[in-house]
Amino acid sequence: MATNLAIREFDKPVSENLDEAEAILLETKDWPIEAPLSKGIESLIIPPPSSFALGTLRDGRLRVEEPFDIGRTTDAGQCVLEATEISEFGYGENLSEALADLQAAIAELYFTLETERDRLGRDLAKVWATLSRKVRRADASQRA
Amino acid sequence: MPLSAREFDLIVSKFGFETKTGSHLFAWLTLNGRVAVRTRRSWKGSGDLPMAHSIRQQLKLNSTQLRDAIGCTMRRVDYIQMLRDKQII
Repeated sequence: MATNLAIREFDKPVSENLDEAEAILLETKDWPIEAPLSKGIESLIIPPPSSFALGTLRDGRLRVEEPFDIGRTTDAGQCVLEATEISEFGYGENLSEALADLQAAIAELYFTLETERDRLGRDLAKVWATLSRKVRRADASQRA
Repeated sequence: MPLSAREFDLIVSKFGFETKTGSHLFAWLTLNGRVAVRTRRSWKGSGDLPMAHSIRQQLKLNSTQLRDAIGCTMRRVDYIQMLRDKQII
């Protein structure tokens, strides 16, 4: 049985295609590595955003159809995330932990309010109205 | 105003919240057959709870009322009246 092999020659790396003058120009002009280092390592760290949109709950049963506006703060050394529209929050040692906590809290809130939807007080009925507009059960989304 | 896990438990017990344990301690208050208020706290740590102000808001209390709730000056009947006054129920 014959084996066909195709060998392709890739383009040479960019630096080898440049003449010496262009390479020097790139090193000195387009690679300003000295600037951030001179300000310290902190200048290279991008702080997490103070607010963002959350579009998933990491729960296969639920699908987010309209993202939640999330605010991020720090409280007692903990990273805190808050979804003010539904008065829910999550926290943890870092952003990932806080996010997982908030997502689990929203999912739990969804299932609790869904179960109790016929006997919710005025305030929680408003929360359910917001939540059920933003989140759908995944099986219901597939049927639609 | 800080709120410890012990104070949280004191409030939900005093005001007659039902509780459910899971990833968190979930607490909700049913009045006249309707779920009026719900809140939760983490199991993590034994000191002050993070997001005490959010828990306070979920309980529909202001800072003074939270202090009264932790102390003995706000009873269940006062809390229910406060929820009525705020048209939560």
